[in-house]
Amino acid sequence: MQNIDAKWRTPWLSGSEGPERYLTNLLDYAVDAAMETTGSDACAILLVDERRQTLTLKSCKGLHDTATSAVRLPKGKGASWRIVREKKSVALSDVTSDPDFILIPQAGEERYVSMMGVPILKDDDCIGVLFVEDSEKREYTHEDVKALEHVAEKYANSINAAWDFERLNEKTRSLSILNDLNHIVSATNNLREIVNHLLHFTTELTCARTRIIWLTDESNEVLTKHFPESTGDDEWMAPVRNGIVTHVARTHETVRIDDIHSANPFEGLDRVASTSVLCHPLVFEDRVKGVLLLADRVTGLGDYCVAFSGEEAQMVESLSQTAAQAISRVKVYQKLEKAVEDNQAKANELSILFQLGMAMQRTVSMDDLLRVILSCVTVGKGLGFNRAILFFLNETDGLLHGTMGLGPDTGDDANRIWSDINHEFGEQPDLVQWLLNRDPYEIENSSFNALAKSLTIPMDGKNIVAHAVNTKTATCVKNLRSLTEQDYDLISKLNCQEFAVAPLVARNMPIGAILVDNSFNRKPITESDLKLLVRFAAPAAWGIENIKLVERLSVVNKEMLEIDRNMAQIERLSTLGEVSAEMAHEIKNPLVTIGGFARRLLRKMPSSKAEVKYASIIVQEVERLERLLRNTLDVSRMAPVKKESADLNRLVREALDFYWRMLYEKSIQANYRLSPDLAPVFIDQAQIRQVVINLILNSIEAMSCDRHDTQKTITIETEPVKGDQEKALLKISDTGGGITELDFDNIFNPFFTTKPHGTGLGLPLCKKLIATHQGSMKIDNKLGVGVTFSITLPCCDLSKKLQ
Amino acid sequence: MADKEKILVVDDEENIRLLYREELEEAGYEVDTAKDAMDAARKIPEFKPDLVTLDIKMPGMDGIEFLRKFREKDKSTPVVLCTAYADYKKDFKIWASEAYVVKSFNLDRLKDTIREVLDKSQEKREEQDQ
Repeated sequence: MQNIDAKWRTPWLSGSEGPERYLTNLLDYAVDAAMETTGSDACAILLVDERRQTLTLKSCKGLHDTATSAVRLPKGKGASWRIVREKKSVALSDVTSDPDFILIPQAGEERYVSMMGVPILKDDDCIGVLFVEDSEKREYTHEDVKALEHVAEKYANSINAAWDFERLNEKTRSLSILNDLNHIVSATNNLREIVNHLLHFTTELTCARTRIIWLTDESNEVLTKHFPESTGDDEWMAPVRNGIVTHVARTHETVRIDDIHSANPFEGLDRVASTSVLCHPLVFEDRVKGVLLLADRVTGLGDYCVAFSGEEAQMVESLSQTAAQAISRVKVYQKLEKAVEDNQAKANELSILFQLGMAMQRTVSMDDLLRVILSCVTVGKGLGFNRAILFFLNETDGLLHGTMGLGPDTGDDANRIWSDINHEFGEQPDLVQWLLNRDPYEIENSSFNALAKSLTIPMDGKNIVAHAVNTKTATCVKNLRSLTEQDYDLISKLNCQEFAVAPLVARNMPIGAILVDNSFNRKPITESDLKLLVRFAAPAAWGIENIKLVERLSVVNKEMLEIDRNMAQIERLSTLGEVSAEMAHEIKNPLVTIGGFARRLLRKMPSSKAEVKYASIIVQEVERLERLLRNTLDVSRMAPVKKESADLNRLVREALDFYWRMLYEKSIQANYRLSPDLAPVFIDQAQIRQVVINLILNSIEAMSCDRHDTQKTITIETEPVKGDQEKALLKISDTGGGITELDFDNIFNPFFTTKPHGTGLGLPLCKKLIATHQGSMKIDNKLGVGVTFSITLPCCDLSKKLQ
Repeated sequence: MADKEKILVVDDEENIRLLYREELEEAGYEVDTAKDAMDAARKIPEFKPDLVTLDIKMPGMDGIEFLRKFREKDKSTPVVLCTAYADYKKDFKIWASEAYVVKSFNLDRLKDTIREVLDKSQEKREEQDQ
């Protein structure tokens, strides 16, 4: 004993190595001392861990070197644990005689037959076991046992101190691992990366055979995905998830099970664990981000599964906190990123819509507008679809008509156009300008436009487009199986795989649709693409409606101008009338005197005298002047209209009869074609008679020149015109050769005349009279043939008369 | 026929007066003329015409105004209004006249009208006499 004490000094008196090797060195010393003292073939020291769950082989001689630290004996297993428990030494000449003894073949123990083991005691506490073994069968003496116990006693204090120190070191290492994890997970925003790091560090810190992480979804409530996926499919893992994992997530409490076969309240746990389980929630700011499950803490070489230690649990908790924080941060970041993306998309949409609005504001013609809309839908800086077609709803035929299509005709065409556009945008980044400056002819002449224009879609038919317009909802066609025959027809015409339709709605009424596809780049049409198309369709429809209004307005404007011109003419007639009435009155009296005395001369003179002829000329001229005056006064001072029911046929016949002598003298043939079905007209007979007489005179005078070899004919026809209000049509045609273009433009101008004896007031007066009857007057002038005057007059409205 | 029927022609234009006088005298009437309303007012009591032709548009008092004043004193002597306008018919003031003739160089219509009016006036007088 003295020898031993003298020889085996405590190693730190002579040891020159660092503290981290201290325990190892000390144990090696102890092992050497024990072997020399007992003369045994092998020696080993096993130490109890902090939780008193495992005995770990920390140093040995005569056994495999690899056994050091690798051999871990779970609590209660083998003779060693009995020594720890009973704090009594054991000496076995034949190890097989002790049923508790377990051979650890990995350590090379099978060579030995005899064994002696003593507890390493520190203040009544057993901190480990010191063994010696012999390959030859040996009966250990009491002294042998005492000697070994002496060695254990001698080194107990030092070992205890060094063992504490090493555990402290171990903790420091864990903390640094945690620190590393913290650094690493802070550096990434990738959730999978964080999970992988977490799994990796969990391996570093614990020796769990199985490590699984579940994550909660967006709502922080439902546990969805687990990592790594190799641990089993969702269905296989469902019992685990629904059991322990959900429990931990709900209670925020760690569950540690040392052996699931002795105490396990959770079902299905045996799918992932065989012995021990440590299940920890990943909690950050009181919200569960996920659950970490560790199973089967392996002991290393022995491949035994042992329970998780308190330190490990603590480590895992720290790890979980770090992970939860990181996961939470990543989720916030992902949300932010999505928000930013959404914002950018929104900003982009707004910018497109704004630019469309700007471009629309600058167009005034429908064609320009449609071109702008389709360009905006198809250009990359706009909505970016490959092709687009506008359909307009025609209320009359109930069909959607393809009105304009924009898109490349072929793939090569597409590439060329897109590169051109990119080039153009390089020089001219303004979308508005670009939209407005597109070449209309290129679009107009494309075969896709021709195809678009050839398309008609029945509104009452079963097809996607009509459905979209009828229900005012946009649709994206992806599932070709749900399509109807009409849809297939359209798709085969368009030669596309999928397409989307958005209705054009203005003032809550569908006016058409816009159809888009990506038939060239085959890009799938996403939900957000469709949304943008819908948002785009609203201002587009509004713009189209606006242009329609503008166009209608310009038609009305034209009509107004026409009315205005007519009004001006009538006004001019009136002013002219006023002036000429004054003049007429001034002229009238001298005319009466001249004409009166000329007549007297004519009467008094013998008829043989030449002067009779002169007097006669004066009389004729005065007659003409008087007629001019009378007409002038008639135009300007029209008597109030006295309308009554009248037989137009009779009126016409009487008027023509009045001229029968003149017709006969000028050999003009008169033809009647008077309809017997003509309803009575509602007219001032005197005025209309005046009109008819004027027109007949006009025709007679037009045929007065003898140069015409053809038969001179005046044809008078009447026929009823059916409509909202029944009207009578009167046509007076002659064969007088028509009116030259220049004259034709002037025939309604007062005082314009081509006749040697005309007043130039006949036709303007007729027009004015017909107008006061709410009738119309048209002239069909066939140069070289003749003129046809067509007059419509309202018939008696019997229902009105009865009221 | 005993005495010739007497006609007073009131017109501001001398040539018209001359024309009317010659034409009407030729037609068998005794004719006197007045150049305006004042002149006519002076001559009527002396000449006692059976009929007056009255130009509407005259300087000073116009024909219609003269007709109104004349009717205050004399309700029976017929008056034929002559004018360049056809639409004086609308004016109720001319209802006081027996007839209305649009002036023309062809005096046939005037002469016809005068004859009609005189005949009617004759009938009326005979009725009243009975």
